[in-house]
Amino acid sequence: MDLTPTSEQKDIADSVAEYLSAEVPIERMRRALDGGSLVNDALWKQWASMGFFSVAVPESQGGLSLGLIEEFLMFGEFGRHLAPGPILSSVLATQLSVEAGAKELTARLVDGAERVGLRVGGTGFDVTPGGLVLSLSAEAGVLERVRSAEPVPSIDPTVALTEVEVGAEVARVHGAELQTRQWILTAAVLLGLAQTAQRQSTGYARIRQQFGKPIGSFQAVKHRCADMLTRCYVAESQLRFAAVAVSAGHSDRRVQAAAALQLALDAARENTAINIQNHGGIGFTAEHDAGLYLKRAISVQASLGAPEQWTSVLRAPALKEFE
Amino acid sequence: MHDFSSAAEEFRRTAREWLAANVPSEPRPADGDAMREFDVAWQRRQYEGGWAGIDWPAEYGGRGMSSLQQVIWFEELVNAGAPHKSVLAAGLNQIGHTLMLCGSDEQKKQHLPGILDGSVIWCQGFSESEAGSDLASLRTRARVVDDELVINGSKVWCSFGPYARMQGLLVRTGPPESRHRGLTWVIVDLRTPGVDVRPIPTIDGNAEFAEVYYDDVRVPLANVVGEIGRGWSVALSTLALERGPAFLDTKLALQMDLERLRTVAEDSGAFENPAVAAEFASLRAQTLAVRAMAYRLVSSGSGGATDQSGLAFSLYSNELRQRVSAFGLRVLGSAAARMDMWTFKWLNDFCATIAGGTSDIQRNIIAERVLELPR
Repeated sequence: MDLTPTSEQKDIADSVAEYLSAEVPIERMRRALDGGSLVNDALWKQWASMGFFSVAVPESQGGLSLGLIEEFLMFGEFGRHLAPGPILSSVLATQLSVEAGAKELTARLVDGAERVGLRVGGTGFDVTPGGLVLSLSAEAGVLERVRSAEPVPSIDPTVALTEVEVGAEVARVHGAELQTRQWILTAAVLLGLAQTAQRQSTGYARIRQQFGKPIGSFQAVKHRCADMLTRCYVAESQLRFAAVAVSAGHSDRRVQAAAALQLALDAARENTAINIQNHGGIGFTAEHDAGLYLKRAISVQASLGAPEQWTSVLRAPALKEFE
Repeated sequence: MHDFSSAAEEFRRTAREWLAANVPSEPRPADGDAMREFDVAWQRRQYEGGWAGIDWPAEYGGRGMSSLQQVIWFEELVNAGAPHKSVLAAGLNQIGHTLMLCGSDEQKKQHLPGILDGSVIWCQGFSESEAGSDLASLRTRARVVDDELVINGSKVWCSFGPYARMQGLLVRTGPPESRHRGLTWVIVDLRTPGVDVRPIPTIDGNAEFAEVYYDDVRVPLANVVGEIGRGWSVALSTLALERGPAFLDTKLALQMDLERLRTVAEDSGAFENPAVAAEFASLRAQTLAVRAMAYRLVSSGSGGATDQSGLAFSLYSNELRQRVSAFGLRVLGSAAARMDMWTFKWLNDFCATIAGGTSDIQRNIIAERVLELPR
């Protein structure tokens, strides 16, 4: 058991991080928010060519033939950089398509010809009319064609929220394994949000002066920053352990993934909220990025559906001994 | 990142087999000589079976294996419901490792075997009534007279002090205001004339705590670990060890404690309360993370005992111990008024956020050393 990523495992994530900082900075996203699409077809195609949607797809079907480890490390960067668009649901849909043996659909997903939003009940996350939408439960993962998608106000300005109606079913698989994968990748995104909030707070606490000294010298602020770091460390450790358990097919993989999701969710919700407090007045303004991370955390949480899905796994019996 | 190797799995299997045949079936006596003898006998049995000091170098009687195997062994101890190190904890945890890191060859040869086979019980003498979180202000004084140190003063909060024969003691050899620059770490035989060990009863009903008085206690200079005046750096390695792999056994036990409480809650019907079940689910996630952090601590590129990431792990698991115990009290309902193993544990766990540096000091250290926030 080793929970330190190798440099090969980090390769994809590192290059994605570099690309996002240079090409999709938050300032650029802010400009797009004033009308216009956050992720146009050209950008989506570019992401496809960079392998965003096909990290774990077999080489024979146009993918990179890597695994969940490389994939979750990449999703951490999506969270850290607040990457927009339905990347997570499209990656899960690609996995579904591979599992369902829908080779033609897989090819279209891999090269970015289709993007797939997420549906939770009647609510669509980054759903495109006429496009595909994924819904997930322990029972089934289902891909459907979108019949209509009526925009509704979104708490997160970087996520397009809709009331969605679906038409024909396109593909279906048993849900548990795909949902477990969703938990791992969502936990990675949430951890990324929590880590950025922690870095913002720590950076600000070092430079913001009051009473003639940096506010980071006051224990009230310093201890909050220490707690932010601890939450990230705890969630990151569990996420790594869970990703290894899922990759290796351990019998406890589902409860490990559920724990990773719960801890990452706690870290993201708490860190993005306390980050506002640490920044004071400026943190409350629309101008500051702290609010975007706060809103993304709640939006990602909502996209998971009922917490009962993973908390029921967490309170199930078993776990008599370590394996 | 990768899964357990087949060699690691094989090690776990043989550990499990040995434990199944050797873990004492009789209950551990609550206190006194019987308790001490129980703890010592269990350590002795592990030592004779070749299971003591998994990651200790072979030259000191250990197995010379990896930290990963040490963690697996700790997990299997927990799985098997084996007794904790208890009276031997200070020696097997921080003192033994401090001697390995900072002691002379002579000191290692003289003391490590007795620590590992359980024949010599150790305690630590750091805190004083006026030097708690501000450890560097300690006042217990030692003068060099010929080839001896002459010690005067007192120490408090020495865990298992009433049972110990040896002590790792931090004293002031420099001027009174020299703070961390004037300290010395020294080995003291508690049978030396002038030493007076007095038990301090604690809120959990135990008398495992002690204050120790030193009245012209003469200790050979050969007992100084490191150099005179360099005790602070030796003490820092001791304190770092308190956050390192050596203490993983009690951290890993949290998960089993929680699973036992679930059984208690199911038997009493408390688990039918959705709020209790929800709290259990949350604690399950938290205790699983303890195991993940244990393996992360011994993963490649991690600095082991002195790794700063150990700080966050320690802070978190110490506070989690209290959350698990508090959950136990909730599960007990009105039976919480009764003194039993869970109420004892709840009381005992109040020390988790005090011993080895309070959680407040731990947060300062994380903020200042890891996050580089100003002091």
